[in-house]
Amino acid sequence: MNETESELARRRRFEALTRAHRDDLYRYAFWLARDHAVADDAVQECLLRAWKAFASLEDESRAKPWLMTILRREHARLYERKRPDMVAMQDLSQRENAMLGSQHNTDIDDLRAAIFRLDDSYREPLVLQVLMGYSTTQIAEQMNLQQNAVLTRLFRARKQLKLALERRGLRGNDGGAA
Amino acid sequence: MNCLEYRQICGAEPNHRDAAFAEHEAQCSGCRAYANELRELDGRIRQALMIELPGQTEAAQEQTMAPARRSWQPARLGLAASFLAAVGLGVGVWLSAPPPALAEAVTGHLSHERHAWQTTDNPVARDVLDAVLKDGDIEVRQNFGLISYARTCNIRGHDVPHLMIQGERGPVMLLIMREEKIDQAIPLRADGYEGLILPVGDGSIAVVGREGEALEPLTEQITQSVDWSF
Repeated sequence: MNETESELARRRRFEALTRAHRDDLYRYAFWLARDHAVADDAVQECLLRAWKAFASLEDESRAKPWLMTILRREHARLYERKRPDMVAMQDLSQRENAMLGSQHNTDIDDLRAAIFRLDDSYREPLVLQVLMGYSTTQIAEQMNLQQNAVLTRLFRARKQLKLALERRGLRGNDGGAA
Repeated sequence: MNCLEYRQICGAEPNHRDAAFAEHEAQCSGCRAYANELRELDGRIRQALMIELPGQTEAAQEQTMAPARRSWQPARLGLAASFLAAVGLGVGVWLSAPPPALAEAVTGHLSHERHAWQTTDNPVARDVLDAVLKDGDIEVRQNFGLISYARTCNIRGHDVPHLMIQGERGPVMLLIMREEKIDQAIPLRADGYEGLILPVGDGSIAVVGREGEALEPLTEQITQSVDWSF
């Protein structure tokens, strides 16, 4: 009985932890995959793996980076399996179109489209920094990169987005291009 | 710190914090404007990255499989149903003891992977199918029909090949559960779906399609096509 209660408590703790991070997990998965269905699968796989490995999480305050790491690995695994579908460039516009318009804000939709088209290696650190609040050190750990490489990618990501917006005539009102 | 150094750092981390960075920004109006522009850009990037979660936008598009039957089931499920179910509800159900009855686990799984329920002529990639079947130690003979989707799913703690084949009225879900022995067929019914779990050897196979789907010939074909050795 005690064992059952303890197991139940552990399960509830896991559920609470994952619930707290579910939005971030999904958004991270989406921006990795640029595909809702793949993001959905990756998150589901991530949670199953996380539950199996829950005992290895020693510090629950580290749950978010722990989950993000698992998610990244699961996405890579799905990517390997579904690679032909996922990299088909002709699908990109369709996926982009499906995604656009949800914001009902042309500026944001255009920026989202520009992010959508960023190279994976630039998009991921940007998502981790801007959306997840990761430091460049944490991003380097998550992506197994040198910190200088992370800084370069972030710099280039912003530069490309600025250029994309300028080309669309959507540059911010405060001007001051570099 | 000169302007070039400042902008290199600022371009990577507009909110970078150190004394030299702050000092240069205070002294150089051009770089201050540059930083402000990037910070404003970051605000917009953040907005753009904050995609609506599928459950927020599409939940209303799908009906839950059996809302009255399971208090844990969300009232509405959409394309994100598997995510919501996995994160908020499915994992909760999966995690809560005791494990759900087999029939309930199967009908509960209907709300997962809604994207798999597509009528299509396109078969799943052979390597994907092979990987899933290999995970389940299962062989499928050639006369199995068009398999449009394959993945390994977790049903009551076991890795189970989840296949979708194309029936007369649309997709049909198969869960090949070699670890779930049953004595007799279990009929299944959930909102808009029906099927059964068939005993096969020391395991079972769930076959579920939309209401009205001709499952009988399919089940016969399926049980004859699946090869497994326990």
